[in-house]
Amino acid sequence: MKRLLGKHDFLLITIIFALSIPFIVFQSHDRKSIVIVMREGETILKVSSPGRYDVKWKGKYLMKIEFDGMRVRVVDSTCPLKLCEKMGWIRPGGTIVCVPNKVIVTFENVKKKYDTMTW
Amino acid sequence: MQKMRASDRKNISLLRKEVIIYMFIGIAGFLIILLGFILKPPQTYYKLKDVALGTYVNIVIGSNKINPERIAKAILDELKRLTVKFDPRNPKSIIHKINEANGDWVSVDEETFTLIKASIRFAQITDGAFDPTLGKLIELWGFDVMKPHLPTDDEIKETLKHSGYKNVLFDDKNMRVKLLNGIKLDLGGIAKGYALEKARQIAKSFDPDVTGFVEAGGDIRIIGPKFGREPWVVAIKDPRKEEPTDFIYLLDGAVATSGDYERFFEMNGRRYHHILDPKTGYPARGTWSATVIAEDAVTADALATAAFVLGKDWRFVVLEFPKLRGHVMLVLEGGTIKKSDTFKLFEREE
Repeated sequence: MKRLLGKHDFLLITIIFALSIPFIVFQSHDRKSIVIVMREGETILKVSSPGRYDVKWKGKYLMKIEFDGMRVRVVDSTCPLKLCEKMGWIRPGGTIVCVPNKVIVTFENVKKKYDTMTW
Repeated sequence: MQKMRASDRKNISLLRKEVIIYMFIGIAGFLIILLGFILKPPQTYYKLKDVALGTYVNIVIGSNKINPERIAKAILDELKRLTVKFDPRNPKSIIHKINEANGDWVSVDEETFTLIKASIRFAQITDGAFDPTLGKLIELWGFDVMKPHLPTDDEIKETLKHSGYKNVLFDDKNMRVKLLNGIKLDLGGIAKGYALEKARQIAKSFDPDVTGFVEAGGDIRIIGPKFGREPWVVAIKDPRKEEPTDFIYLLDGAVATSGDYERFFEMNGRRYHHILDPKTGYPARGTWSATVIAEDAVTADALATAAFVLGKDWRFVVLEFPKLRGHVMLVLEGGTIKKSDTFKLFEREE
């Protein structure tokens, strides 16, 4: 008696499943943390590797940030009260704001289960 | 027999083809559903983050008619205008002018007159728990310049004499304002809410069908539902942890939170924060945070401060504030959570 499915049918099914694998893999792949530093709505620095980086605006030094690959903090700032330094480390989803320097330090494309937060 | 075998073969062949077709349809359907989950609706929202109103602002705008970047930038310009106008420390501000008038009448524009009147109205309906006349106390504590320190009891008692919303007089006919008793206005507890309402007005003036939200320092005004149909998911900060303590779903309206973690210092193991109790002159005790959902951002902002100040009397707050159109969630000292029944309606996605 002949089988219901021939070898070509199995081949077709295999191809369809093979095509769907990249979507599943892409979905579950963890994205790398990227820190962005913004001023007046523009991104002035983008960091993806651990290290210490100077933040400058039109050539003027504003602050220094440190990124350890997972977290970021301000280690030096020209602002008078240094509140941004006192905030310490933040993780993806967090934001450091330096009001006098008008600088925002945050993470790019953070996946969260909410759109915004009241605090 | 030979005939029977041929017929069987034909039937099996047909059955085989049908099975393959159904399997193909099934797999294709599965893949389409899978793709639907993977390829979510394209993000069409323009996001603008900047600093205004002395804090972080996040403008998220979607429009099919007008370039959303144009709308977001117009909103940001407006927020920056209001930052200068209502900052009591800025010599260009109208509030600075009123505070420095030595008790004389000061003519003001309609926007200022309306906002000060609204702030006094909130002081009246909350029996002074929200009070926009604590300028001198805020200065005494150093929270105005972010250099806080602990004043003496005598200094606080003396400065309290120069506060109180009943010391604000209005001349409706000539649109003038006068401060008695050496008080100073500080609209910090309501100006952010007003700015968010203006932001929504501006967005709607560009496109009545605009959607999105505007956030300023944790206060949020919804401009329109996400993709025109879905609620925005708003997390509520846990006052002592990094993770949110709750989630609410907003199609419209506003939410604001007042917490003891925004501006504070610690001395001898005690936390001194910036939300002062107008009756004692000291930081209000008994509450870690107060979140208020309202139809507009002015109400949410003012009532969040009042709810925080009155938090130790939490039964009154959760029962009475819904009558003022504010739906409250309190995190009391120690972490106990209390909510208005009406607040719970916003914790459901539908």
